[in-house]
Amino acid sequence: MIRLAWRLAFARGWARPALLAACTAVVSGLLLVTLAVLRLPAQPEERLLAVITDPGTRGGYAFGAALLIIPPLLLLHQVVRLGTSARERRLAALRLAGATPAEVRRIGAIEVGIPVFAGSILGLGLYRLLRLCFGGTRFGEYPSHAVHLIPTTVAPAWWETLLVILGVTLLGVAVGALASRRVIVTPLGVTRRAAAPAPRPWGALALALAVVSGLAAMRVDGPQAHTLGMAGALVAIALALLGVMALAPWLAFTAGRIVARRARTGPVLLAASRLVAEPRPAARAAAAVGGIGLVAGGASAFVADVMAMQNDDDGYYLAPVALVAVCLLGALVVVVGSLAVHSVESLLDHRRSVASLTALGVPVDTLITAQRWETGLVALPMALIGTLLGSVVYGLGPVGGPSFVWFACTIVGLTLVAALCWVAVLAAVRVVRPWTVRAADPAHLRTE
Amino acid sequence: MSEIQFEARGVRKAYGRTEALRGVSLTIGAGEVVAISGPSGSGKSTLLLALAGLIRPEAGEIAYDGARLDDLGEAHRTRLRRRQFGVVLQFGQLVPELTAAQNVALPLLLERHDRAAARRLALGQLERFGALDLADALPGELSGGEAQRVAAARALVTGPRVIFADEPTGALDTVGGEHLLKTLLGAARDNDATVVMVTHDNRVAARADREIFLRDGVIA
Amino acid sequence: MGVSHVLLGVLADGPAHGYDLKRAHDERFPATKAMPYGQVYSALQRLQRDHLVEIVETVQEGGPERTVYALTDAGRTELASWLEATEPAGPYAADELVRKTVTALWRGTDAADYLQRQRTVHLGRMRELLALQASVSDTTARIAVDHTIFHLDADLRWLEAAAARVADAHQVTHRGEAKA
Repeated sequence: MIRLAWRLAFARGWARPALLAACTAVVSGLLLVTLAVLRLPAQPEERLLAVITDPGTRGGYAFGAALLIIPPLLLLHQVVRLGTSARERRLAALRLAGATPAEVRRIGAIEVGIPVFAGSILGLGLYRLLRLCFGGTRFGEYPSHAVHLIPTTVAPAWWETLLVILGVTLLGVAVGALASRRVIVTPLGVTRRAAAPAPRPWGALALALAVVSGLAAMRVDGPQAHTLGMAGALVAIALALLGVMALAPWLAFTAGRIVARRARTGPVLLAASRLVAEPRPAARAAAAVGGIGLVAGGASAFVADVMAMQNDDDGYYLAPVALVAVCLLGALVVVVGSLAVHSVESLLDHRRSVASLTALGVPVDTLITAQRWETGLVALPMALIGTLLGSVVYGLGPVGGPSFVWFACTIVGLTLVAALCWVAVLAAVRVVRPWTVRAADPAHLRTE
Repeated sequence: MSEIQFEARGVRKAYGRTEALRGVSLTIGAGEVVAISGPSGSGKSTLLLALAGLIRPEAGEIAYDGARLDDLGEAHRTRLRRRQFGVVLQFGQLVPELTAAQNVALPLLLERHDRAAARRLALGQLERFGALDLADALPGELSGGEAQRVAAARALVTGPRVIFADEPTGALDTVGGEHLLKTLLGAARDNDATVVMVTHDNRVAARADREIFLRDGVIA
Repeated sequence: MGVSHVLLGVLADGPAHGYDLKRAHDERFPATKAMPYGQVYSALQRLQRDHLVEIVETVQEGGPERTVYALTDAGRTELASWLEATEPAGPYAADELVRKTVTALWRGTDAADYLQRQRTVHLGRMRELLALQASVSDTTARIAVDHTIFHLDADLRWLEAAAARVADAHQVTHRGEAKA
């Protein structure tokens, strides 16, 4: 059974397992950073960024670090679903060959579990690497670099590390199980299937709750403030995650319907109708983008925060700006990755229809334009919603009212994210061009 | 007639608004070769899938060996199918990531047979269907007819008591289809297995002992 | 000319007497009725009259007298040109099956039941032929049986199409009535 799962895990090449491992590595690495920050004593014995040293803002910083796990988690969710139709076909074929639902579930869990487990162990290395590059400097030592983001005098306990590794692995396996639950029920996953119901905007409710609990978490007072604050923050993260994931399909569906009605050109109509017919795959990519927006929004509010409390003895005015630049660059990479993953997935799932379009005489350039629209139509609004949300939760919480700096930073953040998102869409479509050209080969019409 | 193996009463099944089966009752004896035919959309495949326990009817009962099949749990039904039934469908049945031989051996591996023994049995079945040279090919490299032969080999590898085949010769030409059918029916006779096959090909239907003709979801 | 050319074809392999010719014919066409002995001789007489075959010898081995026939050059030419020419593709004469079905449909009686019973009969005949085909070992004989099987198959499909068209026409009239 394990041999079988092992074979299936790597049968489609190393891209999927590698991406899964990368996502979980980032998640577990960030969680370890968060834990380390929370272990700092009231008076740290090292030089760190002012927001970390100050116990008053440290919680917000830790929250921000934890918030950073959203994009990789959403990307993980997306990667797990990568090539869904091929995966469904495989699982259904296994069921047909006589594998029971439990066996298929086990095979699926091992298939996702191996790379995810490897990834969460790699996260340990990532944490070490981050500490090396952005670690604090002990007082009295000469600082070797400019940005001090991660405490080096304290580290998560061994059991905390173990918990992170196991927890992240379990999370990955759970996401994998969620992704394949429909196929498990029926061995005829590909033959006949009633159309999935149109998505509803329930996600908005979860997002509203996320805002409420996030604001509450940042304003708690009293002796239990730290614990309560952290718990509230985690709840807010979970709700925001759920909300973004649940809202994205509705957004994709609605955007597709509105645009399809007004489309004037072939590519736009093609892109919009695809969104209406199958809002979920595009929504998964958009959810990842929304997650990044969430973080970007939080970051812009965080910058406003830092700028407001910047004082003389913390001479590195450059540090927060560099930090933001790094974050945005990282975000760009993740967004491009997420959108590219989506485009590849869409191509793999629609190989036949893409090929038949070329057979009908649709040029590859038109297909690429359609891809651009299909991704951009959902990604852009999702990114903006995410940014606004992140900014509101982070910015309105501790300060207590909208300041001018916060407002300006949010506007800048929104503009930056929109521009970034568009660049990412262009880049992603460019990256998957070879796949598109290959998928457009009418030879795919022969079999399957 | 031999003892009754399958008994269906008032079986109904719908996909969304289309009713595929609208009350089908029948009996099939052990060792019988039965063809289910009828125009396209008459519910042939649905009836076969319901009898094989692959789908659950919405109303009515299906009994196998005197025990209800339709209200068994998914895992139970799957295990029963794995041990006693062999299924050949029209397409989409081979695991794309496994070679032909591994696909054929799959039911044995799931039953925790020894790997080497499973492979030996799988190769034997492939040889029977003249597909030994395809053993190490991946399903993507096979033609429709070749994939069909591999699927037939897999359906027989466990020595099933019942063989279900949905258009088993659909992807094959006259002579190729005849060979496949002859091998399949020959193997079934050797094992005293029952055969239930869906076909729109009259020449295939004529090889059965009996024909069940469906029209609009009922037996005509 | 019908069966005569088949006989010419058999004789092309070498001289043979009447009984051999009958046996060869029946072997080649296992799905058709066995040829009566009389028909063989009348065909041979006609062929002889037209100088396509000739008597090469008359043997008598205890039993009745046996005449051995052989192909003439003219016969060989005739056979070659027959094999070379294509056959007209129909029209097929309406047989009893077609007459009955069409009449039943015109009468407006319930044809579906008849069509279903006819299907059972055709399928039964096809089953017999498939068994026959499995029992003969000669490839060309199998091919000859295929011809009959394929015709039965065509009949069956025609019956099926007839049933479908009747059902379709019913639906159309019903819809028309509902509208009116």
